[in-house]
Amino acid sequence: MCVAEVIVVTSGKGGVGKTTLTANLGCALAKLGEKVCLVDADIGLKNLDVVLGLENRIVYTLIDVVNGNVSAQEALVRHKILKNVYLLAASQVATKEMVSPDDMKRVIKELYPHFDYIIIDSPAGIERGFRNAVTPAEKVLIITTPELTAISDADRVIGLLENFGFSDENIKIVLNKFKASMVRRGDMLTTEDVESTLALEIISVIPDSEEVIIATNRGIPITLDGTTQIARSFENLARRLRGERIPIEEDLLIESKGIVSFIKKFFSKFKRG
Amino acid sequence: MRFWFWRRKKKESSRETARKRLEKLISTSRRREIGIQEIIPEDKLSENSEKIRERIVSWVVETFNVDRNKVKVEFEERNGHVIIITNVSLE
Repeated sequence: MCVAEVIVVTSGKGGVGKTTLTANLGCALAKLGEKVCLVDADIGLKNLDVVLGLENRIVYTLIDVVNGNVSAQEALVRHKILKNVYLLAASQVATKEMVSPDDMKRVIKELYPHFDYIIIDSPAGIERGFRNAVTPAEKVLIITTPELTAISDADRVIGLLENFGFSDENIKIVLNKFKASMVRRGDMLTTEDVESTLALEIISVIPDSEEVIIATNRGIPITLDGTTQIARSFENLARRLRGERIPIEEDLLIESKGIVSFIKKFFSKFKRG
Repeated sequence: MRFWFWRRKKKESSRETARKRLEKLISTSRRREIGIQEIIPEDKLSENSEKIRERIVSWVVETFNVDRNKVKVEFEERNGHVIIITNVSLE
């Protein structure tokens, strides 16, 4: 019997990569042998099933569980490739107001004994949906991009989380869409800038990558292609959450631009088909 | 006057601009929001205002890791409520 660690992925601002992070972190943890449940709390604007390529397999949603039509376990959908990843999908037709923070607590409590990790994908914003997602969680991953709008929204969210009783040790920052070349040119905020502004530890830096779009098109999380830099970043994050000490510099390793790298990329295109 | 066209004004990097703007943005809406955990009756407050002041200063010193002289606590009365204003100089 497992006792799950409940993590919420949130941001404040929309479009910074919450759903991508949730899906890939879940898959990375599963690749390390953990049993993972992903919960889509973005009711009405659900996407997690699409990123995971499970949109055609959804029979029951979170609303069915909240309304007592089925149990939480009956509503779960198993991933096609990674058999220890499960999804509790959100409903497209319901609204966030149809679920309360107490409902979420109850649902997560039901799933709690069956998993090692439960990862909740929070909606953007700081209203009801955000509170629903955050209430049952023990740890928070705040994802932001190195842009003013995303960072100031993240700061606001951190304030709310502290008000909810989360301590600084349980709130970590994930810096997404990081472009090392822009940082070198002096055109992008550095990891140090973000860390000092938010006064919280950055647990992962995820490079900006076109591969994410390709992976979403295919409905296969990028983590399943272990050769890319971005997949390695997700894997590093998963390992850090499990307690391994991996320096953040590992995420910032830039792929070499030599002939070997060129050949690798050339052949990987054929591999992808 | 010589070679004036060669001398270019050094432009600030967009990262530097972003950093300055971010500092301003965050400083005006700094996130520390602390929920009310206990309400102290007014009479008790006036009796122990020095004690309360001392407790606030100690808490701020510990939380923000600043010197005691950088913390200023003031009491004000507004519409029958006692408002405690705490200023912390973080620089």
